[in-house]
Amino acid sequence: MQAKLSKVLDDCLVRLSKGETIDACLTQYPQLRQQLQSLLYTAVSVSHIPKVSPSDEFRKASKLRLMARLRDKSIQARVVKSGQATALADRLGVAWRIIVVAITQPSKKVAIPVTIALLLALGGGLLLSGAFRLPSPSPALVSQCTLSILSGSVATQSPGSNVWEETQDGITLEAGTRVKTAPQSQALLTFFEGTTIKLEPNTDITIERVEGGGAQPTEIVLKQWLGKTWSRVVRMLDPGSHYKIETPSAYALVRGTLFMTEVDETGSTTVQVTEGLVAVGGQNLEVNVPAGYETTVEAGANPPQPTPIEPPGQSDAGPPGVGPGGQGPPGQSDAGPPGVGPGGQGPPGQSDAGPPGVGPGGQGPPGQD
Amino acid sequence: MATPRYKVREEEKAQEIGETRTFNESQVRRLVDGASGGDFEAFGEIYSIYLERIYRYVFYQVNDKMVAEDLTEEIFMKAWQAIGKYKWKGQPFQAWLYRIAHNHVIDYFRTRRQDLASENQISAEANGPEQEVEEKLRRQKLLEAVSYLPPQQKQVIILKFIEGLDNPEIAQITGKKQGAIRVMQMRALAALRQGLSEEYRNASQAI
Repeated sequence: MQAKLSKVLDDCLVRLSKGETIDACLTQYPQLRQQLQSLLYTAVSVSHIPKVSPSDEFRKASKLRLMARLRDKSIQARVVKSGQATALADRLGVAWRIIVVAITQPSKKVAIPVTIALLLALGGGLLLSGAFRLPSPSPALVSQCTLSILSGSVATQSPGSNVWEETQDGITLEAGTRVKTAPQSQALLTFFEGTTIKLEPNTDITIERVEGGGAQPTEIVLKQWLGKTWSRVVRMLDPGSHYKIETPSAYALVRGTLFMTEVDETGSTTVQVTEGLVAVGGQNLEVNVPAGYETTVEAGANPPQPTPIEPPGQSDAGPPGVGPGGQGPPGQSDAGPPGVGPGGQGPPGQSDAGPPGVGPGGQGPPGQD
Repeated sequence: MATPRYKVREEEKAQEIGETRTFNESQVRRLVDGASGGDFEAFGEIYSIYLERIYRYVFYQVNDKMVAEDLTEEIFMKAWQAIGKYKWKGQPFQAWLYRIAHNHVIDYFRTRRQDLASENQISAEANGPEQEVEEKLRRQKLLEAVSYLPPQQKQVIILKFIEGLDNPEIAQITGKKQGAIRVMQMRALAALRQGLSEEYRNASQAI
């Protein structure tokens, strides 16, 4: 009976999808009318569930992140291959010494090693000819980031220059460049390994340092002078890697998370953490801010103990990839209570190796590579 | 009573959500072949083609915009890592991608053990005029009811009624026989009907 009903239901659904009416279907199956009717109306209701769509901002930002991550992974893979090629070269060196020994001290005992060595030399040579053509990660590439203008206009100041110039979408910026968004303007910086920072209107930052790529630890340091940013940091597996935002009154250090940094005209800095854990430092004290919490550091002061973020709807902007009207930070994570002070009392194993209270084992978004 | 018409044509949905580009299978195949050989740009095109569908598929399961965004990105990273192993053996690329998405969502729930229902994310989508609020609340309840379905039933409902796939495609994605798909579909609709009870009946008459 159940099998029959499921088959009839499916038949009706196919027919409805071709434009037939529910009544027409029910007429054909009078004996199942009662059960069918409610199921078909439920199906119609479900098919009317509004179709969500990723925001344009998320589309753009996520594609940039993805492409950056793909390039970075490819470079890492090449570095590994390069490393393998180097190991092979070492083995060839050994083989060469064997050949030299064989030539200078001929004996039956070295006949087989010599054959192997020659084979290795031949095969290895072929492999190396390919391996050595593999490009190494270019320092020029990793020390840059890509600027995407999401709306309005953006000005940049080249390293060593005092002149602000209006800039264009898609250009690459090198370390030392200062970036400023105009009112009603938003921009996105995408780093070589996929980390992005979204600049809200009237935000002013300097790209202090961008290093890493391939097998090297990633180090991204930004100075945020004013305004609000949202950082989406790709999880950094290397303990030496970190992403840091310095402000006039504080700094935020992370290794794979999503957080907002806001600096007002007085230099006061607010850091809100949406995912992961951020170490926020002031004059001589550091607090760990877990997901769902925020802290505000006044100029010249230390960060107070983190407090829960205000409920969604009270913030005027969302994180990268969440369009206007997007959600604020989600609920609190299952991380423990915020830790305070040097030596960090936050959730264990979620700190970085840098400043006090931050040790290895940072936490990132689930499943990120 | 107005008679509802049930339509889930892919083209209609594409128009609804503003997808204007269409790709035939041979074009997708060329892109997949390119991506398998390490071509980033080809994979970028694949991403653009399927982002909407995968995001939506994930969103309706997790009911959280930001989580859906994160998972969607991770799914495409996984797809990139596995695309070299993809073989054209009668399984459409889309089915393969949905399968990665499904497994990733399952992994997410296993790891997080989160409650499937989120009370505030869908309301963020409801930015329409006031007269639509009631209708949107009803849809929100429906979506919540979907989120409470068992994972396999939920998957079938999303793929069939939201994504507009047919039974053979759903069977390829889920690895189930079409007969099993039909039974899951019926059970899921029955569960939804029961869950929504009076509310559903009143509302469905208004469609």
